Amino acid sequence: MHRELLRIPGELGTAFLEWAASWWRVFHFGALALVVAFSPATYDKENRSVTAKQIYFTAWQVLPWFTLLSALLSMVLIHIVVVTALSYGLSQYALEMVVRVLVLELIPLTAALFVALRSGAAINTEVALMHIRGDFDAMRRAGTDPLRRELVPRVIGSAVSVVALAAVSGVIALLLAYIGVYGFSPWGLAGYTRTVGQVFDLQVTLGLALKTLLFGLAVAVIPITASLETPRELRLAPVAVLRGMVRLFLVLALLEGASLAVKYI
Amino acid sequence: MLPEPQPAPLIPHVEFKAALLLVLTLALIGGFLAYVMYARGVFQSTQRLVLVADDSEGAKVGMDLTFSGFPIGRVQRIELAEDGKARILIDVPSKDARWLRNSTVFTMERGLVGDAHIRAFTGVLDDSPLPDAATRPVLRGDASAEIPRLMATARALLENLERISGADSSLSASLANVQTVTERMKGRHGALAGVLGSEENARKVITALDRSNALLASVGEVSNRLDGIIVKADERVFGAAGMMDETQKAIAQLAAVLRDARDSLKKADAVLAEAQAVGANARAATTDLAALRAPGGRDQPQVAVRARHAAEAAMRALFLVAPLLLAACAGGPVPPDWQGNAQAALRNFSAAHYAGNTRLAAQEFARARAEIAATGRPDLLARAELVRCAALLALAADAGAQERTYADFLAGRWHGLDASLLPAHHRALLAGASDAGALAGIADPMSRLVAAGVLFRMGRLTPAGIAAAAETASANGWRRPLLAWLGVQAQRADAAGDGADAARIRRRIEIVTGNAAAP
Repeated sequence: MHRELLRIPGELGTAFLEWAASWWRVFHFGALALVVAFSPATYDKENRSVTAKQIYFTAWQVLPWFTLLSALLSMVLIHIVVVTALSYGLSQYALEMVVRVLVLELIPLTAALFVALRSGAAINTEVALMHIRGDFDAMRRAGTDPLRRELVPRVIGSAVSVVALAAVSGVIALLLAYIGVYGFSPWGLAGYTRTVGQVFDLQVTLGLALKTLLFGLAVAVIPITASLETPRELRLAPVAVLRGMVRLFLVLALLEGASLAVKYI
Repeated sequence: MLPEPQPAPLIPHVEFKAALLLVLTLALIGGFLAYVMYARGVFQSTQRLVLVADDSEGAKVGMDLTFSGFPIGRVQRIELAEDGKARILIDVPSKDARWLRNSTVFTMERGLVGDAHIRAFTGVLDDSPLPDAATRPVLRGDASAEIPRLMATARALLENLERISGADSSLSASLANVQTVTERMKGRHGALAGVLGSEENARKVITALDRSNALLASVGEVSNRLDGIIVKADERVFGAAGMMDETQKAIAQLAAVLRDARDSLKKADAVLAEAQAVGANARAATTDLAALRAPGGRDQPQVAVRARHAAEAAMRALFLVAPLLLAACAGGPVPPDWQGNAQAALRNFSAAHYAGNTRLAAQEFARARAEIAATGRPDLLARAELVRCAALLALAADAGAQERTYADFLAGRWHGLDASLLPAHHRALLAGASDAGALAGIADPMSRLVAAGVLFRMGRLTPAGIAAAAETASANGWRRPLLAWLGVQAQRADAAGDGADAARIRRRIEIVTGNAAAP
């Protein structure tokens, strides 16, 4: 009995340590990937090809569809906001509200989720399988750094993908917001510019950039870390995917919450 | 074991596409950043404006400074100054700074919804421009600050309302009274009972109304009768043979009477002229009588006879004139002095004359004449002369056939008259000579006038005779006979319808009476 009582804190402590070590590995891998990504030596011919392929798969292929989807979503939201603001006599605040809600919050989050669902899960599964099969060990034995050859291109690809999707969709949302508020008249440009200038002050712009980058990194880094720390048993591969995706969504939510908290609290 | 992974399918231009995507993304981000920097005025030169407020609530960094609704500046910083006031630092682009002048007024208002607004009001746009780093006070207005006061007022209002509508308030008491009154109004006599307080009073009022109705009916009858009376009176006064008709007739009669009176007066006028002529004769006769009364004077019978005739004529004239004199004297309130004096003098004259005291008689008569002359009335003078004449006639009582004949001649009783007994100048007249010729034949002007008067009385005087008589009076300057004869001439001219002749004669009359207008 006494031993049982002693064992629970011991187990809790072990679990916490494992959890902390797991997050540490996430940050460590993230930092490592960033360093590798920003070192020019990474981009030899082979790696460039792999990176280009990763960018192609995660960003280029989804860009049209995602742009269409986000444009539709933006139009609906803009229309709802403008009509509601008009009915309450607050139309002067409609544009600012549209810009803040869409460009600053919804579109980066949507882009991150979209990439996570489409590429994050795939990366998770692929890396987990490669890890279980021992491909990385084989690479190392062959003198190839698996981090540079296989993992960092995926991180770069997802980061570029999130940033590109967010940028394209954000610009399109800004255009749609202008059209939604002012129509096709060019005479609202001065007021629109003022509003955009008022919304995008330095902190907001930097915050947006940082948030989008973090989204992009998280989408690749968390699934890869989750895959790598999986015991090398094939039956545990789905567990690795599950853990990686859950942790990814948790991180995305935390990032979004933190960004909102910094901006509005 | 899983199958070996398939080699990735060949993707054309994968590196180019990746680079393109990267470039596109970077271009978008770069362009967006440039746009935001432009929007935030990074590329504009600005000037600083510092607004000082006692409270910076509602102001925040990034808000606009507006002028006429257009944003011309942006709040860059808000700081608390050493004196405890808020300093709002605003950057105004140089191209918009021209709207701000030294006289510009700045306000910061805060509505119930939304941000505060900082506004600039520039009344004089050609004032000197606002310098860089100028410090200006800002006037604050806060709608939400009004809310507590508004709430307090509303609460007071509600309390008042509650007091008014309370059970023991005067309003509810008034409503209760109104209810009482309306209850009464529902009774038999309706609103009347409600107003008067009880049914009994209402009944009294109704009775009084009935009585007044009856009274009004009788008043209506009376007025009907009055109408009848007025109609009758109308008939009597204005109808045929009514009072007005009679009055008109009376007025016509009165006019006729007046006309008659005027005629009578004219006749009297003529008679007076005659009387004066007679008076003149009598004066002449008096002289003759004085001669007669002188020793041995009795040998002048002709003169005495003439005097007697003249006296007779005067007496006749007196009878004619007397009514006029009476009319003149009667009805006077107090007889004036001259009347008494003249009467007394005339009485003394008669007494002295009959006593044979000729000197005293002459004195008294002179006194009477003087008294009468004061009136300036020849008719009275004529009367005095007639009195003297009568006195003289009394002495000539024993007149003979000559005198009677002369009297008859003067009276117009010429039938069977012995012409030989008349004075020589009158004989031709009696012989039936034509008037003008006979009159012309009389040398003595006085005798000629007497003859003309006799002929006029008899209606035998022709217009030529009248003219001759008038000329005789005119030539001798005898005003009174002249007026009489001129009056006769005017009358004749009027009767003949000779307007010009009548006007000429009237002008002569006016000259004689002295009424003529100055030429």
